[in-house]
Amino acid sequence: MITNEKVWRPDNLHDAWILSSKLSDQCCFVSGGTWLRTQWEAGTKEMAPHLISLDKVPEVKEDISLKGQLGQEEVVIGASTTLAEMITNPTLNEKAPVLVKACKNIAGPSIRNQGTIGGNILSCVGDAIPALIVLNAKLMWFNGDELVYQSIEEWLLNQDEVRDILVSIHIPTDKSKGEHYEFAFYTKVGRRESFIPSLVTVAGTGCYRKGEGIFSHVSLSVGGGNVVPIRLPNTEVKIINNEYSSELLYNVLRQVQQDYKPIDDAFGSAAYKRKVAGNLIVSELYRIGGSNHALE
Amino acid sequence: MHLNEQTNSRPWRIRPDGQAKVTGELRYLTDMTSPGKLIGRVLRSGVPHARLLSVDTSKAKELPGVVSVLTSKDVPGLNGFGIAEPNQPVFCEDLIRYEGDAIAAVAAETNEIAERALELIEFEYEELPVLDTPEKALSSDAPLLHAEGNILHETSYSKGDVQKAFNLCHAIVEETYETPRQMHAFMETEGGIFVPEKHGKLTVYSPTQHGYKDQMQLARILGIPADDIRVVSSPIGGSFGGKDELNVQPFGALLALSSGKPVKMHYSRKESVIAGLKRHPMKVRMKSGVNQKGKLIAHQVEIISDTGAYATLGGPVLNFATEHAIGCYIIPHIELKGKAVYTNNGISGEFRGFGGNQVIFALEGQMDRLAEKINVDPWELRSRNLRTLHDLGPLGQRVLPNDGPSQVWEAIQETPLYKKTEHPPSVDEPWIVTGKGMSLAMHGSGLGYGIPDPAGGQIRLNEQGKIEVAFGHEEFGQGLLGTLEIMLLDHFNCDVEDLEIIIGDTALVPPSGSSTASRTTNMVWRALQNMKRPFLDKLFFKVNELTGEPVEQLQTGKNGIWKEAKQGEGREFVLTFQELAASCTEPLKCSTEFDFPVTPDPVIGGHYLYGSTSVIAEVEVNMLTGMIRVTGIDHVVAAGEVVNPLGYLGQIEGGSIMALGFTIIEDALMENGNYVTKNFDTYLVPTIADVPEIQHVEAVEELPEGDVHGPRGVGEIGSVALAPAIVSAIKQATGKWVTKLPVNPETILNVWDEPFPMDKEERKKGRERV
Repeated sequence: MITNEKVWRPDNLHDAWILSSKLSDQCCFVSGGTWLRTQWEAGTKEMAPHLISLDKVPEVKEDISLKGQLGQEEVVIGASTTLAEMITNPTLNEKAPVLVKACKNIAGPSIRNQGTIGGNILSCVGDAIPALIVLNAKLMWFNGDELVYQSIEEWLLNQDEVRDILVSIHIPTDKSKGEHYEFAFYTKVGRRESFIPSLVTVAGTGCYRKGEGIFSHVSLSVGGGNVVPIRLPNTEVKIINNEYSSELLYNVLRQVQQDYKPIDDAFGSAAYKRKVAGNLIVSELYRIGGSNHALE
Repeated sequence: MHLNEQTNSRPWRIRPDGQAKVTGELRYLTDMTSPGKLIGRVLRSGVPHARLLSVDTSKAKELPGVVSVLTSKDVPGLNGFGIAEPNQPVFCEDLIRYEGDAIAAVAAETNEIAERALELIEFEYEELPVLDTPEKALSSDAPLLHAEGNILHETSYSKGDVQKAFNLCHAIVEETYETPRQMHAFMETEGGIFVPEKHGKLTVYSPTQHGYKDQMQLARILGIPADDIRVVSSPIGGSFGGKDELNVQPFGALLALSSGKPVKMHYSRKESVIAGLKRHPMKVRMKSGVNQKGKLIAHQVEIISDTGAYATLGGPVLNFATEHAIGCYIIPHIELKGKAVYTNNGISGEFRGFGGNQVIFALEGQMDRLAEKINVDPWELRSRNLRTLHDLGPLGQRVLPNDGPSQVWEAIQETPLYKKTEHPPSVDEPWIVTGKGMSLAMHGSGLGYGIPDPAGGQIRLNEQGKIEVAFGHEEFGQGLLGTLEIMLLDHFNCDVEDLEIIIGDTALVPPSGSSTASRTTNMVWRALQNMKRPFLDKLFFKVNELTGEPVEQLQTGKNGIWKEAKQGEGREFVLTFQELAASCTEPLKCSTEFDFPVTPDPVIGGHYLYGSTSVIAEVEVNMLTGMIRVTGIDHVVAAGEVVNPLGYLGQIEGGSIMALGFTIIEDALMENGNYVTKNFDTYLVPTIADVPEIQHVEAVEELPEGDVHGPRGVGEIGSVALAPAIVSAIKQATGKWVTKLPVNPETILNVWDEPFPMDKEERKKGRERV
């Protein structure tokens, strides 16, 4: 049998970009390949005749590190960092534990040893995405000429055709939110306890001034299934600068129902996913704001 | 006997095949290869229902590297297989009845070439309306899937006058229960290697639960004598009923004989899902009524099983379901009807529990609902209706005296989970609610009346001086080897090194019947009972001849034959097994043949021996998601003596985890006759994170006086009664009765308007109520 299939391994971003432009729809970037293989096996995606590996490109392999000056620091993660590496990285555990939690909830250990953060993002439905949204993560792309930044939220709104190369992920660790109690949560619900695609995933960050019981700087995101995760700005508005109360919980529950529009699939109806998303978010607010419930 | 902790009084032996399995060293039959082997592949229809108009293999045959391409025209014998009724064509002739139907098969030098060849086979068809539910298949205008119609098998049983009895009932519950299409999910998918031998003979290395049955079926297909086929069938990477029927064997055998070369076949998981058997989805409608005293007086049952495109054991599964829809309860008025219906769905067939799991879910559900309706404790209601020692069996047949149901009813009340006190929802997670539920069942062993159920075995002192036993049974993970080893050590007091166990090879073992239906432990136990004395007599007679030692003072032991101890002296070694073997011109041997014990009454499918079980389950229900977490399961099993405690525990835990999957997550979804869940990324089995940390297993070993039938098998009983216990626990936690499995979280979530009592005062009240 004669085949023209080939695996390419360029050693710099320029060559990689030229190669992918030339081969166009005949090629596909592969890193861990865990999700691609699942789709190839299921027959939901054709295997491209040309596969491009970026395992020789230094920029995408960059180790997780803390960069920038005090007050404007960011954690930089090379796109080909594996999920397992993220989970064990001390910097990430200190600066963005919610992202670590997200990674721990993806698939099983063998998959996390191969699957990368870049691949998770480029799937557009990866379980790390809601955490990255609420962390205000930025993506750095190589567009053939230069490196450009884009917020992940913005990219998700127009991710139809990716031609650029995802190089790294940047997470600001700025403390301008103040001295107040800072919270972050991430919850994924699937049809079983582990090694399971998400039905609904929610993530959130924000501040809660304990003495006054007031929320501020709240970011919320929801995703799951084949839905591209979104941010929930209208729900955030219902929380920001408001005091924790059962009324607030009811308002949030109602608002999520309006803001989140998942789709039916074989394993869960849209109505179910919407309801679960709202429930998960109010349960997290209860954990944060209902803290004097210990006295009940 | 409490099985979770090691005791010195019982053999606590690690299974002999354990280490090789967990380290991955063990080579399964599908790991085998052969020089110059070809790869065999099957072309599937891909459409669930169509008239097959033509098949053109000419282009595939021309492809370099392709050695053999076969269709229905190339089957020398019967183009059909099926244990009970051979109505599944090896290759379709004119009608495609499901998406896994085989159109053609190819043997080629490489997998890639074989795959390309499949693409080059052209077949024309005309699609027909898809009968994807039994209801559609039963409608008067439905096209016929088989010449005899769309009903594979019907059952009925009645006694008394149900209609009149319902009029006299104090309370009646009527409900329809639905169960999922569960997948066996064995680790090793179907496969094997098929080696042509001299003079047109064939050796088959392919997993099955009954080597001799495969030999018979293959002989029928190939049109050659059964003796010309050797079937090597163990070890097996899991089966659970799923490899009982032929799968790759017809294709591999035909391709090997036509190409004259060894042919290897191994289904991908996707092909295994599409072509393989599943547990019968059933709809069970039950109407049951009790009198003022809580005695069941009327019970009406209608079972509809979706048997898919072909028969395999769909009929016997329905028979089993029919009997177990009455189970261990004494009811004077009964009317029961069952139908196994052909559809264009995937084939349903044999699966651990064999139709019992589905109807026990319904029957126990009825008991719980009736108890609620008349405000009686559900366990008390069961007690009022349980069979006693000498009652007839469920279908009125005579059975061996059996009070297992009362024994397990009693014993479950001593388990840790039963005694555990409830706690209110926590302040930290007020959305977690908990509940406990219990259920009970009796489960038949053996194939039942009317189905040939022979057994047998052979023992000999072989040329190497080992006590060698040979059985036509299989090792598919259930632990036969470990159990046999323990029985042999017990009988002969020798060393493991003195033993040789041979199974799974028709060239070496006698027919022993199938390794199914919780029958194997019982059958090998009885075979050894039958053979022990005559075998020892032969050994000792020969020793006497050689040494003059008196026969009555001889015994077997470590390394050989010993003379029993006299007072004050130790026992004396006489000669080694090797010495004894060397002095024999022919091996000393014995064999036995017998049948599984069966009821004397001609009740088709009716059983004679039963095991009993009760189970208690604890669940946490998450009000945020409607998801269920099973946090505790305790079992009581009454199945006679525990031969192999670790094996017994493993069977109950394993069966229970399978039942947990059946209850809360497993369902092979089909849409319009096509599988939606084609792999383990969407078809979910429980992981270690989904199962309780510990399942206490208590074995009740006492058998009624005069019961000489020995230990019953426990391969299935751990899986039969868990679903209703979980559903009852969910009811306690949520107030919601579930009737359809697996439990849909959405139906649970819809119980509540809000995810937890969000108002502080309401939360307080909730906890006070508990």
